[in-house]
Amino acid sequence: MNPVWRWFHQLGSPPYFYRFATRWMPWFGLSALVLSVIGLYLGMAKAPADYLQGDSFRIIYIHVPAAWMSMFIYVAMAVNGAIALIWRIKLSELLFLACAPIGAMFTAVTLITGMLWGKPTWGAYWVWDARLTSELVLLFLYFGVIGLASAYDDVRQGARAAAVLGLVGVVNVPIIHFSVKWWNTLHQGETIRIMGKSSIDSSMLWPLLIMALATKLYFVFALLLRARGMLLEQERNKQWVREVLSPPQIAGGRS
Amino acid sequence: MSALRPYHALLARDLRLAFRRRADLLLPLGFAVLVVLLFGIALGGTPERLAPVSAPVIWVTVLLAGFLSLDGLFRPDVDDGTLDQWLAGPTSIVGLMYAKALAHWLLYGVGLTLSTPLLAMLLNLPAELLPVMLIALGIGTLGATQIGIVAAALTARLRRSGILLALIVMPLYLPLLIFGSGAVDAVRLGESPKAALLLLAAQTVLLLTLAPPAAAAALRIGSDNPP
Amino acid sequence: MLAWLESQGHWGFIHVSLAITLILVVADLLPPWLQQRKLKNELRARARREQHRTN
Repeated sequence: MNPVWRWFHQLGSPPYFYRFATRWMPWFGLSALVLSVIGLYLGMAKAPADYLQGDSFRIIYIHVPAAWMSMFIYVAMAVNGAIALIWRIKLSELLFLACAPIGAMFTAVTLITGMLWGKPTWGAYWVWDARLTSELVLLFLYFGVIGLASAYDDVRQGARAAAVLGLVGVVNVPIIHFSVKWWNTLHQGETIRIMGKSSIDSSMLWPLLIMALATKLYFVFALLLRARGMLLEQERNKQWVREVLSPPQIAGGRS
Repeated sequence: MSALRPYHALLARDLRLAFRRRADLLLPLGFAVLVVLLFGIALGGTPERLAPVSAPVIWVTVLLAGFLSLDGLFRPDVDDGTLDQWLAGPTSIVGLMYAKALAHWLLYGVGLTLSTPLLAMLLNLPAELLPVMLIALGIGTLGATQIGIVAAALTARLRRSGILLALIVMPLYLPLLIFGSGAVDAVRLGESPKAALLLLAAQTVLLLTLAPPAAAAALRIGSDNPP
Repeated sequence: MLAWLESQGHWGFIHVSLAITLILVVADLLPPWLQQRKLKNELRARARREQHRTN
């Protein structure tokens, strides 16, 4: 068997995943922390102020990576949901469930920082521009998934029902975005193009890319943390949990 | 023709059941008139203030009224075991979902669309907007029904679903609302509503192809017979 | 409160953005982490009890 495939199969087994998560989580968390400190320092202190917007543009170092993540996580969530529905892998259900609150958090960050950026830039906290409005809808799509999953008594049933909703949502997200754009375009043109001619200076771009990487690493960290917790809860009576936790002098040390 | 019999039977049964309880059928209309009444009062009742907002108010009212009928869409079938029988039986669940959606649209979508002239009168909707309003609502409610059956199927086995159903359905209604009221707006501005209506129809067609299978998958989740 | 924020100039908005983001991140991480710690301690205690019984 192809080693990559074998690794995926192994990852699907709860004890393997538990050990994998426990081993790698600190690295993801730590690198996310270090990178965001560097990114924010470069963005807040080193990058020059924008000649049009002044200092307030610095909010994009939080706003834009969070916005990217809000959409990326929705897709990641839907992919896990599809795997959970098709192959009924228990771990995918947990990863699916773990994605939703993290995605909702990033969407909330996007909205709040967008509003705080909007006041000095547009003169109002909320303007009905296409991207902000889509983000607001996205937040409610996340809430729908979280609400539906938690409404079921059985975790696995809830996860699968919410996965169907997630898939319906992922088909709808582009339609919603397009329709909202059709409805109103007031936003300034897209400023971030990584390839080709970019309208932003490289000293302003670097912190943004670092922050984008940091949020990705944070996502993996938070995902592993949440999925590991749910796995432990679900499998608390299994033998492997005893084995992983029981000689405390070996498995413990850090809890 | 005989291959279609189970679906036809379900459609006929849903319609017959609805007509047996005519009062229930009129409830969404009553709700719509009430919402319009509240808007009319809040807006002071003057035609100058009512006319510009009449089209969006009608759209929101119709979507809300149609939404209210979703909660009971699968509940009786779950309670009396009909649903489990479907799932155990040989009939295609997707086909049954199409029949279910068609019945719901005929009862509520068409019903509410046909009562729009009444709402339009109450709100002083400019007369030239009424035809496009009716067309857009006819198409839009068909799409809204498709979203509705998915949401109703997802929450069918839950004891209470009110707010959750709203949370699921409302964001997905958004594109229908945008294109639907966009078509009316186009006529108001003296432009052709064709683009908006076509986009609305395209969305409805997409929903028609995707939603019934999704609803069927959702219904299977809580059952004892995995697919 | 909003009037106070607006009187702080651009950096006021930036600091508030950073603070709210930090709060949300902590709110995202802390509950699952605490819950997990509690659960682990619980399971460990159970395992220890069982070991005692077998010994």
